[in-house]
Amino acid sequence: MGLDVLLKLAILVLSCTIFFCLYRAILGPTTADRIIGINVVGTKAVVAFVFLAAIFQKSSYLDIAMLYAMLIYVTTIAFIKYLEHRQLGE
Amino acid sequence: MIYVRIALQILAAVFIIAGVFFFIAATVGIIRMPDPYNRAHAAGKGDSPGFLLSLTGVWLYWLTINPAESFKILLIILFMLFANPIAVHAILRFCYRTGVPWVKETTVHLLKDQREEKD
Repeated sequence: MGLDVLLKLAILVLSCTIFFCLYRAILGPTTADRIIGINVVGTKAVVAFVFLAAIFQKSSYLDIAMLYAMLIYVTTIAFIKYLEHRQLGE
Repeated sequence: MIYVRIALQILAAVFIIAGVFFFIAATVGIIRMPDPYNRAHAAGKGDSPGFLLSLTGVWLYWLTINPAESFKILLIILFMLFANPIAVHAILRFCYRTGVPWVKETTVHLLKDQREEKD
């Protein structure tokens, strides 16, 4: 149980950087800036979930992290495909 | 055996600190860069080593406590290793095809024919 303090500090730092990325996701001049911001926020949230799982030592939290990684990937691809082609076919 | 455990935990701490450093660098790049191409470059280059190092560190820490359940972290690493660069590549292709302007310092223009064909 030696790394609990380090993991909590890492979650704190990641939360601060998530807020700075939300600045780009809300105020970004173009649509691509917003999508980049959301993608980076999703990656950091997955890493924070894995840190939480390591703090509490529950492997069921890792399933949530895996699901969130897949959800962020599908969200990014679906947004881009819709905005480029205006349809989600094929 | 206790020495192996302490050594693995120190290695895990080093990996986690390095991963969080890469995340901070990615955030600085996203905020400070001038156009979406440079921002996506900073995001893709900073995120991939960030989650690789962080999740590898957590995996090493998990090995010292509960080794039987640590394979799920390897699955997450394997999935994100494929998914994250593909997502950033798709974002950049979307930028290029919809004609987002870039800063005037960008001179290398390898995909010029493709854009004229699209127009």
